[in-house]
Amino acid sequence: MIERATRSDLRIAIPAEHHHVPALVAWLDRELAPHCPQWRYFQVRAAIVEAVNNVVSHGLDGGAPDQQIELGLRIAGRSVAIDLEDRGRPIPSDKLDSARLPDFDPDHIDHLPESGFGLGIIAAAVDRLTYRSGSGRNCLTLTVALEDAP
Amino acid sequence: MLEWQDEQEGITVVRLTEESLTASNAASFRARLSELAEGGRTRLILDLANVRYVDSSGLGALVSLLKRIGVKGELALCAVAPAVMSVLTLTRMDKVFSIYADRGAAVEGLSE
Repeated sequence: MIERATRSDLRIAIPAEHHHVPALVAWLDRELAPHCPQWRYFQVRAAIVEAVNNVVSHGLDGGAPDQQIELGLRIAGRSVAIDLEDRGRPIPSDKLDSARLPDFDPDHIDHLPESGFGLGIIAAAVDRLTYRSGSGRNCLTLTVALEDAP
Repeated sequence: MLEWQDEQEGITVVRLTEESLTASNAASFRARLSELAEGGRTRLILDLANVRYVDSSGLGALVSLLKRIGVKGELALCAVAPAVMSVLTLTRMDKVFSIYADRGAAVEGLSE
């Protein structure tokens, strides 16, 4: 795990494997949580975890210990931008465009979805989502306003 | 990653000993709980007091267990941390699971 900071930016890099996610969560608890209302922080942290999982599971076929996933925080006033950079297979644009949480009837247990929540959690938890991919590098940027609880 | 204790009226309380339920451990959690259910323990309370966060894989494992138990048993969650509750609420799974404040309330709720 590598950390570095420049002025208002904070950055961390973790090996692209699921078992390194707890180290990222601990770093977020330290660096991002103090800037956010608790309810907002938990949702944003969930979105970041899903984004990292998505890179590991789908962009890198389950993980690549020789590759790094980099995460940057840019906190400015009452908003925060989170940049997640990787060198895995890009997320297909149609999947991002259509990302939403699965719909279901809570009373019909047999039909409850067991998967398909990941991108939906990301989309539902943030205010803006942008994705750039090129030259073998992908960058997902999540932007959230740090307003008080509704 | 799991400890369990049989309570009254066929209720079993299962405590997760790890601090997360995620892509790293969801498969083993699912397998272990399925063994318990197939062994006849179908009135389950999951004590999540130690669990600080879940991801979509962990959520999927919980839903899978609920579907496996189905109408022949019961599944409740208790001692759900705010961060875990946040994910349940965001995904509307808080409408699906019976959720209790603590183990005692859950045992009482399933005993009624």
